[in-house]
Amino acid sequence: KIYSPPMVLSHQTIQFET
Amino acid sequence: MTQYIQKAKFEKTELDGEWIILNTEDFTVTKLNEVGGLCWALLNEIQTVETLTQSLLEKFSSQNNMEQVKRDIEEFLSQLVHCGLIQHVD
Repeated sequence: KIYSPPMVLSHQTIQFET
Repeated sequence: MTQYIQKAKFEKTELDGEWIILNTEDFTVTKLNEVGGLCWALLNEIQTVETLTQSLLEKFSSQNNMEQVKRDIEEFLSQLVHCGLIQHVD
């Protein structure tokens, strides 16, 4: 296995539509 | 030595080498790369920067210097705290 730095690729909040 | 652990129970799935973490309380979706997912899985138990660094060095034995991995882990943990996925253990 090849090492790469651990990363957060994306982070988002789900918007619910009423 | 700061200790960290996952904040709550999350739904997670691995897809094409990326991990998708669903927080069903805060309705957030977080995507991690493969090594990030490995760290995330380890964080279901209490971890420190040192224990995570050691785990990664064992997993990717021949390639990396310890100080660089340690810096990567510190940066990653601060991102996870910012995303609300992990917390400090008192």
